Amino acid sequence: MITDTYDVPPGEPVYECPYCGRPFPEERLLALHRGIDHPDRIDAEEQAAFESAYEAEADPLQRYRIAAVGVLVVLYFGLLMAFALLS
Amino acid sequence: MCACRSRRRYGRLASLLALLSVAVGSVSAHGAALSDGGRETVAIPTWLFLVTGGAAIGASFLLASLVTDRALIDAIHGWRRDLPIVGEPLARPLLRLFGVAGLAWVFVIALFGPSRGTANAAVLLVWVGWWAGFTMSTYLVGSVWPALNPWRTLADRLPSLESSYPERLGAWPSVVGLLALIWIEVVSPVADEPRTLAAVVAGYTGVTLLGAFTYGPDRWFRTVDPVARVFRYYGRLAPLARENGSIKLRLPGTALAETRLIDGFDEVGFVIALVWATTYDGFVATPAWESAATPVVEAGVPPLALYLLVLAGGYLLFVGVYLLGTRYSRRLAGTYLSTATLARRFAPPLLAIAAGYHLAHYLGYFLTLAPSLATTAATPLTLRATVPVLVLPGWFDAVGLVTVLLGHVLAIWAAHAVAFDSFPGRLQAIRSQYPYTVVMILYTISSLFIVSQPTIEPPLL
Repeated sequence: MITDTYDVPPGEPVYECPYCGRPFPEERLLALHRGIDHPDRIDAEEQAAFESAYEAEADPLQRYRIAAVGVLVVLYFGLLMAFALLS
Repeated sequence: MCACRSRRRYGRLASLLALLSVAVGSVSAHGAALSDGGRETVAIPTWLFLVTGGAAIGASFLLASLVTDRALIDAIHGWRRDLPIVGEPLARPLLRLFGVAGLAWVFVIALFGPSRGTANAAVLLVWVGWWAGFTMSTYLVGSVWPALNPWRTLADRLPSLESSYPERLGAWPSVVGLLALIWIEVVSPVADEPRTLAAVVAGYTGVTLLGAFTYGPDRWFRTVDPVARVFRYYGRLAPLARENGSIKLRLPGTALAETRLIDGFDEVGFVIALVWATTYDGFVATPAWESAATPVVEAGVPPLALYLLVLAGGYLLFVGVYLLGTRYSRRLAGTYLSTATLARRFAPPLLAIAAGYHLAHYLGYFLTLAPSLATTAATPLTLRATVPVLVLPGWFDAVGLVTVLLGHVLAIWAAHAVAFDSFPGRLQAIRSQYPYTVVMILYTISSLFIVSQPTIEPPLL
């Protein structure tokens, strides 16, 4: 009864899921979606596409994590200093 | 000297529990400074205290974003245990009876009991027992309102026209109803004068029974009645709930990541109204509001209109900021899901914020006045010169600040789970949360500012 609605800007690339019809702006996201939401229906080729798209996320994700931990450290010590100086 | 003790205690905690506890330390110091009646015992400036609260939210987001394992997120949110409750079939008729008897009792005591609100058991039952205590139990334990709801029990036994409800109105009448109830609560002496309370309860009873008669009880309590909707939504946070016919135990707040609760923008509007209502309730009881409102009233604006204007304007502002955040979220994530769909999916986590705020607002109130309720309920018709209240220790102010933060942290985690459910890319899911996190940090800072202010009576009324 609850359906998601899509809003595809005209002229943009569209990769549509053959199983549920959901559109994606990148082929990579479609490959990930098929592997995550339709794992029982995909064939070997789509499985391979899913795995390589998943692997491809590892490096940017690792960079994000290092940045996130960096911000946490700065926040922690920044506040520690602020409390030490001001209280 | 009490201030120093609690400050040292929290200081030690801080070194153990790192960042979040640093916030607790400052919070306790702040509360202690207030209870010392103006004597400045602590040198932590307010801005640093607010920044620390905001930083705790930002840090929670960063920590949540490190969890990118879908299987782990699904396991946390899908965890369920059956919890058979002995005598459960008996509970429903008992609760129904209890609800109807309670309503009748409130009417009688409000009309014929003592005329002083603080000594009238009906006033205490409605505000302390029901709106503070019962509401807390709906999100901390589980909601029994569908059975307890006396108006539902009455309406089910009355005939009904079963007219068709105008679908295009959706849940908007319940949004208007909730804001109207909040406005009445703030501007009228309904929380102090038993006779006014009886009139408001009679009015609500009349409207509710008439509505249920016209559209049928099912439709009325599912769509229009704001009170039933409040408890239904709060119940989604609770660890206990009825799922597929049996009572299940789940981790608190994890059901907020399910997207079936909210099925249209009208219901998103109600969630935002609930968040805004708790904020408004606190805001109009601060000295900051008094100093902002006084010149406006002196310029000739009627106070009732000003309160209504701020209520409506603030609500529209909250809706606007939420939509703006959703639009940015959609752009950052790079998705073809519509803004309406994203707004619907990310609305349930906001309920955790509303509950955290409600707890901050009402836990102390409930504990303070619970002895008054118990004593006056024993002899409801006699006027007592004094009623007992519980005096809370000074550090208790910190509890409210912690529950505000906890509500936000829970909301961040639930939104993180929704993002991983909505987007196939892991970084895409994390990026979609940047705008919401910014909004939440700003909202936390303003909430902490309100909670840290001394509470006064809403002025100029």
